[in-house]
Amino acid sequence: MSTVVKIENLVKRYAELVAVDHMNLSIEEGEVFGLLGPNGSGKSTIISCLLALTHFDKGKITVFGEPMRADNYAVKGRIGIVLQNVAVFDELTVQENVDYFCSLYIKDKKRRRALVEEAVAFVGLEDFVKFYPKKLSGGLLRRLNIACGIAHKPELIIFDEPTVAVDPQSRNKILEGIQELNRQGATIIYTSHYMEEVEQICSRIAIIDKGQTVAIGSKEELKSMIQTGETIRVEVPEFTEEMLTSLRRLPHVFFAEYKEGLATVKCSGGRHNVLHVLEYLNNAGVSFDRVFAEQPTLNDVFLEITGRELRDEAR
Amino acid sequence: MRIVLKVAKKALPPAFIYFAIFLVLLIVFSQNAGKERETVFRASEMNLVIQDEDAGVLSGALCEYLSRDNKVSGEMDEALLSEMLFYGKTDYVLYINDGFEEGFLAGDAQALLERQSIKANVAFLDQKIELFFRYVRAELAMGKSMEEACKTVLSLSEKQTETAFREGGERSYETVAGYYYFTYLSYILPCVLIMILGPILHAFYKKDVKMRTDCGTVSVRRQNLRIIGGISLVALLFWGLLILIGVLLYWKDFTVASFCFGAGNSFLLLLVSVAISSTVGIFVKGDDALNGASNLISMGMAFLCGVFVPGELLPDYVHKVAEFLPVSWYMKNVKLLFEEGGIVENSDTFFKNGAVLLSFAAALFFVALAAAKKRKVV
Repeated sequence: MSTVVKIENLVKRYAELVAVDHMNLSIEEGEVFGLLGPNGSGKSTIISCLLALTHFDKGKITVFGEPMRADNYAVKGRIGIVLQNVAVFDELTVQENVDYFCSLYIKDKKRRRALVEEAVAFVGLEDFVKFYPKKLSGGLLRRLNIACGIAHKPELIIFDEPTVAVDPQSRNKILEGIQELNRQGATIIYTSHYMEEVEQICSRIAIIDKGQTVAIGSKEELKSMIQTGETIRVEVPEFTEEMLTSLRRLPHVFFAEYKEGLATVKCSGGRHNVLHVLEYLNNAGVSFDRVFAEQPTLNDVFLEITGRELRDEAR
Repeated sequence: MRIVLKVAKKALPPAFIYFAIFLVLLIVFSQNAGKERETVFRASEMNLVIQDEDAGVLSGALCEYLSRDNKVSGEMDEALLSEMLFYGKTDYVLYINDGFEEGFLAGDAQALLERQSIKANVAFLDQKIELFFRYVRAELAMGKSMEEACKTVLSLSEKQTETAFREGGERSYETVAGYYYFTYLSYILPCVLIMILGPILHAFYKKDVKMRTDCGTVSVRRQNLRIIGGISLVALLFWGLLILIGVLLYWKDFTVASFCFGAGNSFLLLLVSVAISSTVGIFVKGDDALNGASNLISMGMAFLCGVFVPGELLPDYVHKVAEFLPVSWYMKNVKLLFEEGGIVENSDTFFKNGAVLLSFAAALFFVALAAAKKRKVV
């Protein structure tokens, strides 16, 4: 596998604000690479620099082995972009929109016609080709947005938060589509602040905070970087401090607290942790209600590394 | 370019409404202008009573002179006269005292005349009497006798002269229908172009669309050239349509030279309008805002520069403000088309005004470019 994108020591400042701070990143061919971070962490700035839409202060970006510049049209022709906001012409129909954006890459009309048809079919908009964007629902608009970005069959596709304010059904379709594009050979860069999506589709993830990469790896690798292996929550009407101390003494338990009728126990690795906790409660004669056991999430990773939670708006 | 035309097509319906209003106003005003807008002045007849105690040649001639335009009654009882004056049955009573003619020859005729009236509109009659005296004096000065002098004056006064007031003072061009055609172009050009070109620029320079097109393999310069080509084509088509209307409806009001100069002048205004539309299209977002901006700019300039209201009626400070607006320079050239001597004789001034218009266009294009750079759309 060859390296598709290589970012070295990238720095981008907006006056006093350092939006990207000595960022290093390498994305391999065929990957679905996730850039995960809260709003304002620098994800979109990295994408802008990568697409040569904005100048950066320091560093080097190479795409397909060539330095990325605004006038490097050979490289630009191999990249597709799907933006967070729907970027289409309200005055053109679905087909005309896809055709126009495809024409920015493909000059041959015959070939373009075939590509437009293929893109429209891929996103399932065949029945809406004559529709104007204002007549489309939010989900259909997002699909049109994707069709406009992928019609020219790019080898690298950048999805910048494509599911913001999208209903669950459309979101699933979009995510399935992205995976299908990857199966067809495209390398994907997917930026989001929704950890579930990133976990669902990305083979490798970079967690970004304040313009820096705080962790990078597969989701398993990221989760193994933190102490939390499993989080167990038990609904208990009453719990004493002695009981908490006893819980903390159980194997692999490194954290236990009781708050508002809920005992939370965090374990670092190990097996059968739930059984150990329930056995203790039985032996101590503590009556309990529901029990929840959760594997660590990327939010836990982010929380443990940065001390803050990923914002998970509208979910 | 095809896409530019498609976007423009979507903006046509609201622009068409303004265009239709323009056409209707143009036809109505220009047809009105074609008619003679003159008001004939004629003194109205008055009821006059003359009490002539002198009964000389001069007083007799004066009675005859006044009776030509007024209803004159002879001697009357004083009490009856007062009653008639009170009830408005007579407008004016003139007493010619004994010794009037001698007094006149001695240069003191007015002292021997007495007047009574309760109406304010008799000043014209006083003037007429004074005029009669002046004519008679002039004739006497030529050595004529009193009889001859009075006879001459009476014969001269038989010729009726009608006085006509031409509306608007010395401005003759307002009676030419073609004047209204070129005048109203200065309103419709910026108005409609902002409404059509604004949405085109807005659509292409919308942040996300611009970002996406910048990611493509077409250079920014080429993209801009395509858009400029597209809007130029739309603007030229619209201007061509307006010129065609001018040729079809108002050709007879112009010489070939004056129409060509007028069309050239409107072309310069077209450049200014395209520049204004570009600036507005980049700055203003949304159809309603664009509509408002279009009306504000085109109507504002039209009113301040004397398109809808004659410049003579506007205060000086408005004229001073208008000097900084391109339409006022366009209007100066429109008026030159109808000046005495023709446009060819006034071509120097025409070209100077045209150069100012061109400077406005260039300056506004730079503003549009600077605005685009500031908003990072070029």
